[in-house]
Parts: sequence; C-alpha cells; structure tokens
Amino acid sequence: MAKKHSASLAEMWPAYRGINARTRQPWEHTTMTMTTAEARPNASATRPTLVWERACAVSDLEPSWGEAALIRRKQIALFLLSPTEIYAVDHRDPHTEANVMARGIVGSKGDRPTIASPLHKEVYDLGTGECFTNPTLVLHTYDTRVVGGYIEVAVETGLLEAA
Amino acid sequence: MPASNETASAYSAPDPTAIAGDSTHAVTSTSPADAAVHTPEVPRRVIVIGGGPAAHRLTDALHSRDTEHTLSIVVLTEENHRPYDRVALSQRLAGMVDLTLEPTAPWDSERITLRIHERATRIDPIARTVTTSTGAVLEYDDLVLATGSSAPVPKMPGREHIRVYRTLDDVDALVDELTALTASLGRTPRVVVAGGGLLGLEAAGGLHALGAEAAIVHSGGWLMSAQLDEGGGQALGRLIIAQGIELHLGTRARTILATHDNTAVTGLQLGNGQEIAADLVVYAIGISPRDELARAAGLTIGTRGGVTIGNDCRTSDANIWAIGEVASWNDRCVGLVAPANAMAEVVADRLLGGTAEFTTVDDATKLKLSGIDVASFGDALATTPGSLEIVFADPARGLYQKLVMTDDAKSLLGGIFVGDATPYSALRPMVGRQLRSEPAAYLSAAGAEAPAGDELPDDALVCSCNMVSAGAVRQAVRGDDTSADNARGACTELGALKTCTRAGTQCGSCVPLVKKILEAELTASGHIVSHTLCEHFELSRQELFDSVRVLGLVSSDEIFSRFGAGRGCDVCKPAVGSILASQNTSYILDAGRGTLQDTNDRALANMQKDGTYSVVPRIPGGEITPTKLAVIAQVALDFDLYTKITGGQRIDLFGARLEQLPDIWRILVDAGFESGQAYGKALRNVKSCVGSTWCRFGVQDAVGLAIRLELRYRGLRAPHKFKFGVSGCARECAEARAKDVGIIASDNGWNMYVGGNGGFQPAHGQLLATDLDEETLIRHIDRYMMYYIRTADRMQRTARWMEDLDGGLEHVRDIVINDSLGLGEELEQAVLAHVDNYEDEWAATLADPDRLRRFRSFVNAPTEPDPSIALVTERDQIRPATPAERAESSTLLLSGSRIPVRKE
Ligand SMILES: Cc1cc2nc3c(=O)[nH]c(=O)nc-3n(C[C@H](O)[C@H](O)[C@H](O)COP(=O)(O)OP(=O)(O)OC[C@H]3O[C@@H](n4cnc5c(N)ncnc54)[C@H](O)[C@@H]3O)c2cc1C
Ligand code: SF4
Ligand code: FES
Repeated sequence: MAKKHSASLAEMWPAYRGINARTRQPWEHTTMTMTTAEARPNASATRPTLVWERACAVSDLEPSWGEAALIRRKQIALFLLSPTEIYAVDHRDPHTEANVMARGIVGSKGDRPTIASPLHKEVYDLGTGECFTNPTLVLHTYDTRVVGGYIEVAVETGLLEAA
Repeated sequence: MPASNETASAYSAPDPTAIAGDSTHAVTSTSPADAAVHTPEVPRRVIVIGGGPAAHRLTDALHSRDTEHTLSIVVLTEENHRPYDRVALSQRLAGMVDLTLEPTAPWDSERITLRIHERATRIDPIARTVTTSTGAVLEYDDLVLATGSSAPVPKMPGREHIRVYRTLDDVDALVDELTALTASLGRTPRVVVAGGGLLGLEAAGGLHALGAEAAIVHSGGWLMSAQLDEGGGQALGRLIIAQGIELHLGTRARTILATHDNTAVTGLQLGNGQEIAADLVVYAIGISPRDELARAAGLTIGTRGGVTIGNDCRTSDANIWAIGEVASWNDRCVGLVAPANAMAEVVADRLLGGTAEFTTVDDATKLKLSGIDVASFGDALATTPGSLEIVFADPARGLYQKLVMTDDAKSLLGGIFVGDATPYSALRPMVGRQLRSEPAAYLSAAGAEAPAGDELPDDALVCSCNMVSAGAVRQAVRGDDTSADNARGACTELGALKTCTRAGTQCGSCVPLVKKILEAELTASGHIVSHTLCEHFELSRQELFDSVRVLGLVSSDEIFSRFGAGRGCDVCKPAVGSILASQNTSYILDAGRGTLQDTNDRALANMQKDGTYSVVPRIPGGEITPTKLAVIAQVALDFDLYTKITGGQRIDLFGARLEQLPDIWRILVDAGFESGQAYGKALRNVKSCVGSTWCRFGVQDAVGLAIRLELRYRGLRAPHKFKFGVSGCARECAEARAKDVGIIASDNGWNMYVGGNGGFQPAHGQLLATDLDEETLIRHIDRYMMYYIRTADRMQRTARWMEDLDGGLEHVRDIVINDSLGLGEELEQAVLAHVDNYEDEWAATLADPDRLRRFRSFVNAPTEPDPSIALVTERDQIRPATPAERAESSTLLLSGSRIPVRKE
C-alpha cells in the first residue's frame, strides 16, 4: 500500500536524472513554498486552520532514521522513535536554510527527544522545536497521528491553498 | 655617510642623515633611563648579543609589547640557526626534529633584525658600539648580553678528541660520528660521557638509545650530586645501571688515550688509575659562562665567572644588561632556562620603561630521560636549619622519594623523586606553602593522590620555565583574560591552552599539572571533561572501546543497554558507530547502525552547505589512468557536477543530490572505482610523490609503496580521519611529515614519522624509526594505527593523541618497536582482520535494494529533487546560489535552475 502511494507521487513528478535534471518542471512558475513560509506571521492574525495530510506508511520508516516527506511542496522531516512516537518538524535547517534536518542524528537530552542539525550540529527539542545550543533559533514542529497504518501530519490550510 | 665610513648601521630610518645625526649624538647621550623620548621616528636602538632561549624570549616580549614602536632591535647570533630550543636537544639526538623556538613572528618584524652566523667580537662601552665578525660596527643605546655558556673541557692530554653536547651542530655531529664509527668499527661503538649531572645523563642516555654502549664517569659519589642526596643518587644509579649504562663514580678522567697516529680515541685513563675503553668521549661537566666580551669591555665579573647583574638585570655599565646563563646574579650563574626567561622578561619590561625585578631562582629540575623518572625541587638537600626530611625508599622497586618540610612539618621546602616522579608537578608549585594533609600522604608510595589541581592557589607557579601561574592557566581555560595579547576564546583543549599560556612548552614537566587544572576547571564550569563521552556514557572512548572489544559486542543496542543512557546524541552515537566499525569492519548502515552515523557517513558522501553532496572516488597513491580520468569527467558532465582537485591527490565532484548518489556510483563502480571514504573518520588517502620511478632524485618507489599502503588501510575506521604520505627521497615533495604517518625514503629503506598534522593546529611528524624494510614498516604502521584506534579520544587526531599520551613519542616507540606491553601481535591481527573483511561500501550499497532505499530524497517521492536547491554558474561550473542571489532572482528557485551571474 505504502509503496503504491509513493509511486503515484513519483509518477506525477517524473524521475529526475543526469543532464535532463536541468529541464524545467511544470510547477516552476508557481510561487509558493517560500512566500508562504514568510507570510505565516500575517496569517496568524486570522487563526490558521489545520488539516491532516498523509505522509507515508508507518512501515516506511526505520526507527530513529529520519526521512523527508514532500507534502504539497512543503518539505517536512519525519522521525519515528517508536511506532507510537512519531515527530514531524521542518526539513529546513533554521540556521543554514538548507533542507537537511531529516538527515541529522536523533538523540535525547535528559528525557527530551532531540535532533541535531547535520550541518552545524545545533540541537533541537523534537517535540517543541526549542534549540538547546542557540536560543535564537526555533525549529517549526508539526503534530502527527497514525491512521490505518499511515502517518498523517497536521499542516496549515495556507499551505494547501498556495499549492 | 660622514666620518664613520666603516660604521654600517643596521637600523632602518627614512632619512640617512638622521642616522648620522643620531649616531654622533648617541655617544654623548646620558643613560637610557633619562634619554630623550623614543618614538617610531627616533627609535631606541637595542643590540642583543646571542641567539639562545633568553634572547628569543626577550625579543618576543619586546615584539609583542612595544606597541608604540619605540625600539629598533638587532639580534646577533653566531650559530648558523634561528634561535632554537636548547632544552629539547635530546629530541634532536633521537631524530631530526625542528627545534626552532616559537613564535618566529618577531624575526619577520621590520623593527627586528636577526643576524645569523654573525658573532660579536668587541664591545666598546664608551662609543657604545659592537663590532662583529663581518667587520660591521653597530651602535646601540642599550646592549643586552645573552651569550649563554659553553661546555667546559679541562686541559688534559688528548683534549682535542673530546666532544661536547651543547649546540645543534654538536648533536648533529655526534650522531654522524656515531654512524661513521659503527660502520668503520664493524661493532657497537662505545661512548664515555664525563659528567653525571643532568646534562651528562641526558647525553649518555640519548647516545645509548641510539645504539651505543655507554658509560658515565662522574667525580661525585653519586649521580646528579648537585640535585640529589645520597639516597636519591644511589637509587638513580641503580636505575641507570639497569638500563645497561656503566658507572664510574668518585673519579675523573685524567688522560684521553688515542691510537699511535693520534687519529682515533681508544679509551681514557681515570684518576684512580683504571683504564676504560672508549671510541668517543663526550664532556658534559657543567657550564662556563661566555663572559669574554664583557671581561674585555671592563664590566664587573662574578667570582666564579659570569657578568654581574643586579635585580634590574643591569651590569656595571648602565647601558648594558645581561640575561640567561651568562648573567651572574647573587654571584651565581644558573644553567636552567626558567631563570633565563625570567631575566628576559625583566629586561623587556625595563626597556619599555618598567621597573620589574629579578628576585628568585627556581632551580627545580626534572631529568628528561626516557624510562627514568627523576626530579628535584626547592631545598632538596635540606640545607634549611631545622628542616625535616620525610623519606620513602623501596630499593627493590628502584623508588626513592623525599619531602623536605619546615621544622613544624607543615610547609613544604623541597623534595626529591626518583623512580616515580608523579607527585612532582603538583608539589613543586607548593614550595613555601602549607600542605593540607600530612606530608607522607603525598608520596606516591603511600598510595594517596597528591593535591589535585583545583587546590593550588592562583598565584602558585605551575610552569616555572615560562612563569605561568595556576591563576593564569585557569583564566585561559575560562577565556576571561582580556589583556591585549591574550584576548582569545576559552582554551578548552590542552594544545590550545599550551599555545596561549605557553605553559608546558619548554621542558614539558608541568604538562600533567596543566592538564589536571584544565580538567578541574572544565568540570567546575560545567563542561564535559573530555574523558567521559557525553551525558549518555560515563566511559571514555578508550574505556568503551575496550569494553566492547572484551565483551565482543556487535550491536549498538547491546552497547547502549549495557553502558549508555537515553537515546544518545550526536557525540556518542558516531563514537559508538566508529568503535563498531573499527572492530568489525561490516557495512556501516545495516542493522540500526545507520542511525549512529554522522552526517557524511550516513550518506556515504560529504554533505555541503546546501544539503547536496560531494563524491570522491579513491585514487590510490594519486595514480590514475587516462581512461579512468575520462570516466570521472563523463560523470561530472552527465550529472553537471562541479569538479575540484583535492589536497589529497584526488578529484572531488560537488553538487550531487542524495537521490543521485547511487546513479553516480553505479557508473564509477562499473569503471573500477571504489569509495574514497572522504566522508569517513577513516584512512583518507596516501599522498605520494612520483618517487624513483621517474624522479631523478628518487631513491625508492614512493608510488608503489603508497598504493600498497592505501589498499591495506582503506576503510579502516578510527577516532578521526587519518592520512599517510610517502616521499621518494629526503626532499620530501609529498609533504609526508604533515601526515599522521609519513614515510620518507632513505638510501637503505624507509624512515617512518608519526603524529604529523596539517589543518588548524599543524604539527610535524616525529621520527619513529629509520631505514625500515617494507615488511617491518607495515608491521610498525599496523601497530601504531591500531594502538591509536584503541586508545585515542573521540575526534582526536594522532598529533593530539601523542601529545596527551603519557610518555609521548617514547611511549609509542615502546609499544610499536620494543613491544613492551606484548601487544604487537594482537594489534597486527586486528589490522589483518580488517584487511580480510574489507569491502567497498558503495559496491555493497548498489548490490542491495534495501540499502539503496536509504538514498531517496523523500519517503513519499523517492526521486524527486529538493526543490529549494539553487545554483549559479561561475567560471564555467555550478555553485550554490548565495542568499542575495536567491533573493534577487525573480522566479522561484528550483532544483537545477540557474541564476545568470552578472559579469563585472
Ligand atoms: C642538552 C641540554 C639539555 C638541557 N636541559 C635543560 C632542562 O631540561 N631544563 C632547563 O631548565 N635547562 C636545560 N638546559 C639548559 C638551557 O638550555 C639553558 O639554560 C638555556 O639555553 C640558556 O639560554 P641562554 O639564552 O642564556 O644561552 P644559550 O642557550 O647558551 O644561548 C646563547 C647563544 O648565544 C650565542 N653567542 C654566544 N656568544 C656570542 C657572540 N659573541 N656573538 C653572537 N652570538 C653569541 C651562542 O652561540 C648561543 O647560540 C639544557 C641544556 C643543554 C645543553
Ligand atoms: S621527494 Fe625526492 S623522489 Fe620524491 S619527487 Fe621529490 S625529489 Fe623526487
Ligand atoms: S615547567 Fe618547563 S615547560 Fe612548564
């Protein structure tokens, strides 16, 4: 089931290889991900509505091995610590702005689960997004739930509209 | 130039007439203290005669503190070397190490002129000039004598055959002579050293270690009779004899015996009539201050020689100062570097208008002889009236320890340690202070710990060579020293701490104490002290490594459940991953081990700033066929990668996305490449020069050896990355001495250097062994690397590891060459097991679909490129867009989209 789900997405955005990689993609002219992220403070004036979006099957994830998911052009990092403990945070590293957080090391500080940025090793609380090593940084977190063996992430409707 | 046409002025000034005017004036000016204000335009002219440690310290202090540029300095040194560290001469005896004193920055300053190989031959205190061996006549406002001493050789028959041990050239000549003697005699040469003090022991021990038979002739009743009491001297004597060195005590040499044609030494006749055989005679019986210039200039000389100085370090001539071994203070010259440095600081201060004084001599000493621990400090011979001696002696173990206390047994006056000098570094700073517990508790024989670093008062002197107090060390660790020349961040690592405080950089005896203070201070400030890994493991890396090895653990779950706590972190998880990889050599991402790996290991590639990766195929020894080069070129073209040649003679391909890595590697692996492991804490590469195959200077096949080594150690994971280098001759084109293991060809084989490092804290490799054949060399490397892998801290390069290792290079030599712990076989087997199990990580990845799955960009869109990656073209290749370029671009940036860059 899970495999099929991914495969259909892959069909929508065809495989991307070698020199062909530089050709234009159908969605290239739209303006979304970045503008939406920046617009969020304004959006908070009117309370954003959250919707649950399916990311992948629980069985797609290996314990403590983060992976990124693409949810309506938004890159979200997923971490499965146990089948009932799943975290979702921005894949974007707040410090360098590169999309890499899923590839960091999962750990703990006291009893709080953490993720270390793979680039400069800032350590964040996976649950709250608080940064332990540089208090000026925050990692955006998302709620998750498991429905019928699938992981769902709560994202703002704004994301959907922009898409 | 008017009048003085033989006066060569060494001082640069913008206007030549100003020099002439100034020089005529200089002769009549009053003492410098009340001389006219010196400014950069009219600098005060200082000449320093001598280029030893004292001169270096003085110049360095003036260089950093004379911020107003009021001085112009000339340093004359007769030796043909930049000032070097005489204290460390024994290291030179053991191998060709560079002893140049750091920092060398003063010699590059335009206000300071170092004139090497130029001797001062005359001082004219009235004209205030110095004449030199080149005929130059230099004028001064202030003259500093730092001429040190020479090694005295008494008048006796055969004196011309006597060698001494004082300068670099002396040491190099001794080594050469020993080599020549070994060849011409066809047997082990026999060296007799006259003098059983610190210098004599060092010379005898050093030459003995070089393979000579050695004997010591000493006039005292026991060795080191100036520093040790009879009990200590006897204990030391037993230790020396146990090393195979012969002793002749209570007698002197009277005649040096030679062959009939007087071309070679055959032996010496002693005062007691005995004749002993010798092929080489070295005198190390003390020092004679080089006060000849001062005598001729009419300065006051001490009763036992040396230029008399006061507390201000001024001689009887107000414009002439003296520092170091040539200076006689309280009618005594001291042959130690600590007072020389202290005097240099006093004169530096005075030349800049200060009032510093030299008031005490610290003559604590520690013998620098491998395997023999001897130290004496303070009133070691208990000459203070009423003093008490607390002695512990265990002749069976070669142990003798003594503390000298005040009559109330409360304050420490001095002490002697023979056989085990562990308490020395902590106790020496306590001289003149009350000890907290009963004195006997401090002797290591009692089994108690000496006072820990944190109990030392801030003003206690930790490093007497460089006058660094405990407080200064603590301040540097905390990083709250804000004085101009020390303003830098906290030094939380031993190497940095030594560089920034200078503590421990001379004789090295205070290093254990400095380390202790560092650790105590780090603990106090909440830092994790380096030996426990992190909050999840209470073991050091070394302890964890051993536990895992002994228990045969193979999974991270087992390791975590036995020794760890919590989920681990980015410190301990990679360490566990590395330990498992070093011991088992199995695919690093399987069986949950993938989650342990650091950023680069996780993707078997090097992550760059924008989240893309760079790919480095292995090119063993830097040798590559044109066909393979073409494959790399084609891959770079097909995937539009940026290419750059690395420092390690390989090619780095940048800009590959996670999901592209398998496709890229499929082509590379098919063409016969394997992972270069540029991402791993493992062997990176073996750099080589072209060697004897092509080079007209080469004496050995450097490329062949480099390839053999790279294929042997590839994939071996270690606490940190490591690199080797191989040069085909002594010209060292491969820069092998900057590598963890450097191999340089000699006429007879290979010389092996260890602990070299480029990067942030560069270090030259140290010579471990010479003239090795290839098999022995490989055995040594096996042992060296595996011992490092087992015992180093996490993220510790070999250079820092050897620095931290008790006994340093000597200890490594013991393990690797002498196999003193009997570990040799086991270490070699461990490397062999690795060699047998090695597989190329990328070939292994490609062969298994489950492994390939890890290289998907998105769990729900496995081949979808990261849409945020944006590239621009520069010099015909891609690079990541800067934030400004991203902002400027009107369209949304997508993976693969290019922003055109404006041409200037
Ligand atoms: C083998 C050895 C081991 C030692 N170990 C220790 C130790 O462990 N601990 C310790 O504290 N001390 C040790 N010392 C002693 C220490 O090296 C000296 O105390 C120190 O070098 C003194 O420094 P200095 O600058 O006064 O004199 P020197 O180092 O002697 O330097 C004087 C320099 O001036 C040059 N010079 C002399 N006359 C002239 C001239 N007319 N013109 C130009 N140049 C001139 C000399 O050639 C020499 O290069 C050791 C010494 C030796 C030889
Ligand atoms: S180190 Fe020697 S053999 Fe190698 S390139 Fe240089 S000169 Fe030639
Ligand atoms: S006491 Fe000699 S280096 Fe510190």
